[in-house]
Amino acid sequence: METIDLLLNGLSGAFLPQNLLAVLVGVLLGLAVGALPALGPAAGVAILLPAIVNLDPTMAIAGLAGVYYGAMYGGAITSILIGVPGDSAAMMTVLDGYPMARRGEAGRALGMAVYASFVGGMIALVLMTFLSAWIARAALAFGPAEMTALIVLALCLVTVLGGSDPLKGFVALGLGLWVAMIGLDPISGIPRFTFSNIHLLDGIDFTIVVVGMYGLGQMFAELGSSETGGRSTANYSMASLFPRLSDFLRCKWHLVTSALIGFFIGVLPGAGATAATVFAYATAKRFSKTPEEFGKGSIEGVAAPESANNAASYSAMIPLFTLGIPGSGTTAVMLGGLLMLGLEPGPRLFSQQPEFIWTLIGTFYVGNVVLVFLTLLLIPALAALVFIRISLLFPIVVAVVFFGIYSVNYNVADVGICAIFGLAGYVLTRLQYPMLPVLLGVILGPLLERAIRRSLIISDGDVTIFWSSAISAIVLAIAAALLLWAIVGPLIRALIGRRRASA
Amino acid sequence: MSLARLDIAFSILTLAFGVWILSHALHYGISSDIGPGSGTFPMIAGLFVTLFSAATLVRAVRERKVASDSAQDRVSLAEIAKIAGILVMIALYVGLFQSLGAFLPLPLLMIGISLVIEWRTDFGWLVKLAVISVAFTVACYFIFADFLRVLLPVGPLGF
Repeated sequence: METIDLLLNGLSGAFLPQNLLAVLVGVLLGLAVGALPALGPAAGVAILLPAIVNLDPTMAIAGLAGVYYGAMYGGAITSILIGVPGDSAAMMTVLDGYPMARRGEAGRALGMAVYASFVGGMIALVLMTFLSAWIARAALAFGPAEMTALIVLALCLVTVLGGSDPLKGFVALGLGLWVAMIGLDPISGIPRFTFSNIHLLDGIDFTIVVVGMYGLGQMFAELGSSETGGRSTANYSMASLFPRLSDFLRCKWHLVTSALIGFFIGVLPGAGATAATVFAYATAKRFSKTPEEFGKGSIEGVAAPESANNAASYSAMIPLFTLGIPGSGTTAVMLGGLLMLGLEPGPRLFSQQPEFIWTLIGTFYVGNVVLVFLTLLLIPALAALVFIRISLLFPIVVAVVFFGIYSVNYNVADVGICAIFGLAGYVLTRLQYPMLPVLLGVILGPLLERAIRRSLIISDGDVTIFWSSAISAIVLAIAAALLLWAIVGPLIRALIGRRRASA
Repeated sequence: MSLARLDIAFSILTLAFGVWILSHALHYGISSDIGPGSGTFPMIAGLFVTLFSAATLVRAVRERKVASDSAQDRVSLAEIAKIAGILVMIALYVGLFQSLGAFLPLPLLMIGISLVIEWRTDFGWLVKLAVISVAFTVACYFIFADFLRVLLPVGPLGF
């Protein structure tokens, strides 16, 4: 009952004009970003980050979150209309959405994508409402040693699960940790890796890193892979966007199970919406009465991944707000936003600033409802965005990035640093190094260093403080196992491959 | 240039970089009177970069012989030229930023980047590009300078 009272108070706060405006701006930007193949939700949130630094915290985070879940709605548009996923979480929608569009059922597929996103989002929000408070209460029992262990596990999980190559993931993590070391040592105060440059004494702002790598870096990588011109258009009618009852009845169980899959996988750091959609699609196909239709234009093949990716986008915010640990690339960027606003995400955020948290959750409910109507109304305009020439889009992105980065410290040198990180992001993307471990290294590295060094100062250098409790011991053991698997796993696979080849 | 070769080159670069980080970590000091020193975490970062770069280098060399030579697995000069061109445009804009202000050279930046990405010189396209660049510059003025009150450098024309 207490949770419902808190939620109702939060909903009343969500309907304040400034919060409604923030949600509207966020979801509109998210829809546009999701619909554009060149930019993902992380890039959208990154680009908006410098602009929100002076806003009220609730408005700011409501806007950023709106970009995230709005992009989940928008990502289906390119997947269905042109067979190119708007972001990685929309890639499974291509398998059935695009074939449906090619046989003239684009409207039916788009309509189901919107409603599946809504149902998945609503189920996830209800679960989030009741589970977040419980996780936050449990997390209050976590001391510094337990939080240290959890951060170590999150870094290992993200690195091992978040990409296809754990070896490159750990290189990326090391690079991120190094970037975080630039500046003054937080405990002794000596400068590290500043190259005698006074601009680097305060370190490199996280916004510059993320906007460079995700904003410019992804754009540079897109230059090498896509044509610069427009694409051919697809035809559909507004009337065809509205769902058929038969489609709903056919997909009802897929919508619910996919939402649950998306929710529980999305909450795991590193797993994210993409993994959730793959599992949801595979499960829907396994239990469908017509599995042979999957991959050829099955409406269930559109409903399942769209329900899952929206559910995952909300559940990825649970570890962010309750534990201060981001579950995905986009929530890693949002963590940077929270820190910029002077908020410290974690269990104490729920107890010390309940109004902020519950108003924010209220804005998620409002945003999810608003998105249904907005998406249906704006599908023609969003579809037009899909076909915009990159030679027109990218100059706009660069201009927005430039002004945004300059506004952080009013230092034009930051723009140069951002461009360098853009180049680094391009190189990492082309050579298939994951960027998420870099970002988490930059954000969580300083927290981890402070926590470990302070703990060791308190214990007079006694390292057993980190496994003195059962929770931290178990968490560290899992992290060690992941690290070991990343090292030993490729060796074992190579050995098995050689034995099979010689057999 | 093939991505396989670039992968090897990048692994060598990160391996050397990891060793460099480790050398600085030792210089900062691993331990101190009050516990871990300033070099402890750089040492951890350096170890990650060094050890895992060595592993990726060994794997990249082994897999080089079976790497494909398709267009998708290569980096073209055109791709590099576009990126270099965009970076040059940004550098030029940064150079003009303080003297000409934030908004006067912005349309030139946008037109320059567009031409780097897609070289099109037909009159209709150039006019469209110019109109969009100027319109977006005006929008940036209202959003950043007016609404968000970001203090941007003012040029000789007062904006």
